[in-house]
Amino acid sequence: MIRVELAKLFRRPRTYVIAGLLCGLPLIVAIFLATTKIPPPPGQGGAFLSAVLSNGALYPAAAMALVLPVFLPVSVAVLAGDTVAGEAATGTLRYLLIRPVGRTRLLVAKLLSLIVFVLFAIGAVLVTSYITGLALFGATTSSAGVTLPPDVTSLSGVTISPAGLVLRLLGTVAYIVVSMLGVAAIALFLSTVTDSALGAAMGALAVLVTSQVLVTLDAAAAIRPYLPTRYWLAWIDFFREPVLWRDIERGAGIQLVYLVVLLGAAWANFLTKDVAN
Amino acid sequence: MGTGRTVVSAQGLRRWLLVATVVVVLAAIPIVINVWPARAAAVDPQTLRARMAASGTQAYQGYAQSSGLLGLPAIPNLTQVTALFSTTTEMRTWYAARNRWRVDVLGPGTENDIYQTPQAQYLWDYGHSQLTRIVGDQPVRLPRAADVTPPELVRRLLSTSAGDRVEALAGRRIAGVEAAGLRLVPAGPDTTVAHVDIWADPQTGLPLQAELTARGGARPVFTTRFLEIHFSEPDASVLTPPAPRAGIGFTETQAPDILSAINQRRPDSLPATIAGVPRRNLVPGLTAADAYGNGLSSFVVVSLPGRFGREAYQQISTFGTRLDTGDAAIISTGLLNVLVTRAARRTSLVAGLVQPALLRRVASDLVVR
Amino acid sequence: MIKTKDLTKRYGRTTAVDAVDLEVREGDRYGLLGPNGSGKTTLVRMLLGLVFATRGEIEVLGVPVPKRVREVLPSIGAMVEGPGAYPNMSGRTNLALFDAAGPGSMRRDRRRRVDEALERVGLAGIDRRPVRAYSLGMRQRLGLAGALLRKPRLLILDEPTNGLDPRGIHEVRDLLTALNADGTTVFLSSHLLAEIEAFCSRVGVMDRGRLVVQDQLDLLRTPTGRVVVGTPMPDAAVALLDGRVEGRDGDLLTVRHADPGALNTSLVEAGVTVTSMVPERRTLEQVVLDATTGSSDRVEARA
Repeated sequence: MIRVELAKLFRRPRTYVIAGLLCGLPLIVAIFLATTKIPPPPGQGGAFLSAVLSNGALYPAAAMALVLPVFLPVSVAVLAGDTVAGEAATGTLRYLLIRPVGRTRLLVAKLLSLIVFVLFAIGAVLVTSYITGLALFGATTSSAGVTLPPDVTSLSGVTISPAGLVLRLLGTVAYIVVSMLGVAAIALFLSTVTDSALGAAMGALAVLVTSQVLVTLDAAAAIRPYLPTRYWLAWIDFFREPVLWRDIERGAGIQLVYLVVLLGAAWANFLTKDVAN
Repeated sequence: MGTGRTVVSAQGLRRWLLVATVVVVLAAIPIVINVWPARAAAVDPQTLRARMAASGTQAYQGYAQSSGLLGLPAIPNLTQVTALFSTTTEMRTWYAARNRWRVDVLGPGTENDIYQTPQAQYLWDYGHSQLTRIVGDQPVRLPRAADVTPPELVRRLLSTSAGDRVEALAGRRIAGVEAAGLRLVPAGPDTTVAHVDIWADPQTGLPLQAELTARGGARPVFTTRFLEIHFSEPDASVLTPPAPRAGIGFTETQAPDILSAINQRRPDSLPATIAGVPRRNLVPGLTAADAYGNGLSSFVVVSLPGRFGREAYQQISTFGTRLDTGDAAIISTGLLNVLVTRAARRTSLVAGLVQPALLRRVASDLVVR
Repeated sequence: MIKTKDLTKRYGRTTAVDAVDLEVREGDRYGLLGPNGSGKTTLVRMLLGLVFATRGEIEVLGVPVPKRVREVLPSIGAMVEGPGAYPNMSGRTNLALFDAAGPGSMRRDRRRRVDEALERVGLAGIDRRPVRAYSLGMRQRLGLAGALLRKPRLLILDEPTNGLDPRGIHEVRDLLTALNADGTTVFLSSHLLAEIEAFCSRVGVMDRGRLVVQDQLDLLRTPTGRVVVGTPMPDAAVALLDGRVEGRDGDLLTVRHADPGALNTSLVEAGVTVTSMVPERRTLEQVVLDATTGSSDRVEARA
């Protein structure tokens, strides 16, 4: 079933359009930065953006920071909202179910294909932004003639070796995938509730926006650790020296809790739901 | 759902019950951990106090958080100080010995670190990509995040409050440690502090949490505590400051902040007593700033030169209350009170955890002079 | 093959399917007839475990549904309320994907089975065009191919000829007849009386959620006790039969008479030429009209 879902994912032009848009934003930002050379003031604007001008190899990290807060969750919500509701709308859901594909299996396959999408999209962003960064902000050539990123300064001032940078970027990718699990689970659950893919996506986005607002609100401090977006930016801690695992662990934990609860709710709802439209 | 009962309703209900159970269990975990009673470690408060004061040799690594609710306005060149008392500061600390430690102040996408090595102190500012080496002692400097980690803050408080009363407090679990507590009640009438509640590891005496409660307040207005603590020696590599290199700024200075800069300009010296409170003469030869009084009733007086003095005066008098004793204004936060006076083109900044009444006396003293 | 007992489905206050006792036997060509909105589709969905009944029992291929529906679904080919396909992929890809999605499908012979199914429904020559570009008839054929992909024992088809032209309808009917001859039980629903009458051996009639008629088609079409007589001498015949003629249409007379043979003899003995003699049977339409009480989509003014 997962193979089928992946085939569907990668045969849809939509997948590539979304990935293209995700890659496009960092590209536009890079072009403006490279032409004007006006970095955002330190501590403001996107993380790492001010450091990028002197160090193109850090651009993938900056691109993550650009894409993560809005663009990536929106696209995940749109795709996840479409999973069940979209199949219901094209009339293919009933044919899958009478094939028969178990309903639980269908949900899990949908979720896995969403994870693959996030990996694919982030991978695309990383590769394009790395090339963009080196092309627009500079690179150094090692004695072996291989183009290597110049040593990257961690947030703690110590340099990160190229190998360390690759490891940290991999950790970042893994963490961002985990961060998107919560969004995917919310939209997936809503997708089993409504037959409108758009409604499910909007519902998930409404939850995220609410969460983002509450995260910044001191009056809501009591519930802050439980908000799905609270630890979204914790991947930045991969670039501290030593790596600060505290928020990363908590963020992963909270996403898993959201995943378990909402996937459970989707399962409870979908398994006894009438498929009629 | 929506279509009423069906032949599978019972099944659906069972599934929802299962999901609800999972939710309840997951939600209960943090609550149970929170309310699980801490085994009160019975340590005599005087003994605990002595252990705390002597805990400077205990190595530790931890994650600390301080939060102040004082609501101070941003004063030019002093924002890092006002932020310390008005917002939440997240810190990572590594401590091997008094002369080997590191504190990172974490911000979203940025970091400000202090490294203390036996030779020198280093400041790293990621936002400005700037490494600063501080040469020599800093006789006076502004308070900074590294001063409000629980061990630093508590040891400083205890060192100046020998005469204050100490009471036992119930134990508490802090960062996984069953900590013993004590309450410090200042004796002097001039301080705004009602009491300071301190919890520490009963064995090592390492302070883990401190809460300052102002007189007339029910909730602590300044709290600092460890969220994570490990009683182990940090790795030497962690305590090694970054090396200056191409691509980052590097400066050496003797005066890393505005206060030490002022001190270097040798402003007029401060009086021996103000409002009847004797000068402490903390550092011989120091003219720009000094502390007056004892313990929690003490306050700090700083002379601000020319333009900077004018700016600070304007800013504070805009936010604060003007006094009728000449050019003077007070910002009252309940705990920390700040006074600024201007007389004969000299600006004085006075700050302390002291009652406004005392500051008014200080003001008339400074303005008349 | 299919048996339901007291099968009822309510959506809020409306009852879509009301106490239906359906029985489809092995080898049947069962036609479920009813206007749109009479509950046919809901009934079909319940048989396949897509919709869950409010009350009642279902047994398909000897297995209770929905409890163990997944055991029998592999032996069922079905089309429910129009075909469903991923519009951006070709028909062939669609079939392959649906085949791969479920259990018990061999990857080795998938290609061959897809080709065979497409051949059977007359889509052997389709190219790589996406389904988006298909006509309604082509989609319908594709849906049918999907149902035939794994040689099912039971075909459940909801409105299988929707969107097909008369030739297409004829082809589908031939295909279903051939499958039925090979032992496949066919259960189809339609709102078209002629289609059911032309193909089915057994008929059920739904009216506002209730199954009002269910029987063999020949048993339903009972003789009416009348005979249609064709004669070039209608006046003579009318005079002879005196009062038993119930209708006259040119040379055709409708005569109330129990025995066509005796009628023929008496007419011939009286010197009346008989060109045709057909015992009249009830039409399916008549059966439906008798069994139902009013059009379900009529909205009467309240008195």
